[in-house]
Amino acid sequence: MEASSGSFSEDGDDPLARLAELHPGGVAALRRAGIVARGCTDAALLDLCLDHCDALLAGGDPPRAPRDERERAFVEFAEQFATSVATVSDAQIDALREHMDDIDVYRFVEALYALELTRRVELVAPTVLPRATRGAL
Amino acid sequence: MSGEGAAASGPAPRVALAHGPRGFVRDGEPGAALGALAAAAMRADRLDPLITEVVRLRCAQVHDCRHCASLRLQDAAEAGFDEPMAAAVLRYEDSDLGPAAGAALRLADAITLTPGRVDDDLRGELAAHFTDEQIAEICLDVVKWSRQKVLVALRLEEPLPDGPTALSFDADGAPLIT
Repeated sequence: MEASSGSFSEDGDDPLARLAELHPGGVAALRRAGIVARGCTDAALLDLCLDHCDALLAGGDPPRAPRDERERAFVEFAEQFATSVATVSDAQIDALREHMDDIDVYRFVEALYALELTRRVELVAPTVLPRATRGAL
Repeated sequence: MSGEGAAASGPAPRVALAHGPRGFVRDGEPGAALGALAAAAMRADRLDPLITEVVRLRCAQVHDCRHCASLRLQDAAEAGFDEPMAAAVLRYEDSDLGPAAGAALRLADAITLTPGRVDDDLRGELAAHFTDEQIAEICLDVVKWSRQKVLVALRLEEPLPDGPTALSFDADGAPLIT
C-alpha cells in the first residue's frame, strides 16, 4: 500500500476523486500541503512512519520494522500520534530531539499530521462519498 | 524551554521555537499550505454553523485540545449554539443534538478514530441529512480541526482564555479570536 504518497490506492483509483469534485480548492490545498510537508523533512523517515500509521489505521503489517534507534524513536512517536495524540509523552518527544533539532521536529510533526490526516480521509471518503452518487437527497 | 505560542499555564512546551508555530506560516513551509487548506475549508460555508461547531468541538475532545474546546464559533452562537449543546457533544450518542448532528459526529469519529472501519450505514445516515457537498465540507473540516494534533503533541497550545472565547473567520478564511 502506498500510504506515503497519500494519493492513490492499489487499484489506481484516486480515493479523493469525488471529494475533489465537490471541494476542489480544499483537496488541492490538502495535496499541496502534503507535497510541501514531504519536502521539508526526511521523506524516507516520514514514509516509514506513515507505513506504520497506515497499518494501524487500515490494518495489515508495515513493510518493514525500524532498523535503528532513530527510526524506532520516530515510528514509536508516529504510532502514538495516530492512536492517541493526547497521550504522547515528554519522553517520546525527547527521543525525537536526540536525532533532530526542535525546528525540524516541528516540521516532521506537521508533515506527519498533513499526510496522516490525508490517509484517514482517503480511507473514509470512498464510502461516504461514492463516485456513483450525485447531489443531495 | 520557551517560545511564542507556548502555553502560559499547563504542561511546558516540548520544543523551543523562536517564533512559535506562526513562524512556520510562510512560503515553502507546510504551515502556509495548511493555512490555505484551512481557509478553503472555512470558505465552503455550505453547512449549518451548528453542525460545523459540533464537529469542531468533537475534534477538540478527541485530540484533547483544551484551547480549542474553550473556543466557540461566533456564527454558531448567533445561530443558537449554547453550553448545554457543547456539553452534549461529549456524549452525543445519548444526547438530543438530533440525527443530523449525530451523523456528522459519527463521520468525524470515523475519520479521527476508526477510518479503517467505516461502512455503508454511515453513508446512508449522512445522505439522509446532508448533500454530498456538505459531506465533503465535513471531511475537510475534520482535517482542519485536527491540526491541533501538532500543537497537542508538542505542547504548543495557546494559553487557555478565562472563559468561552468567540472564534470567527475573515473573508479569506483566516481565524479571528476575540
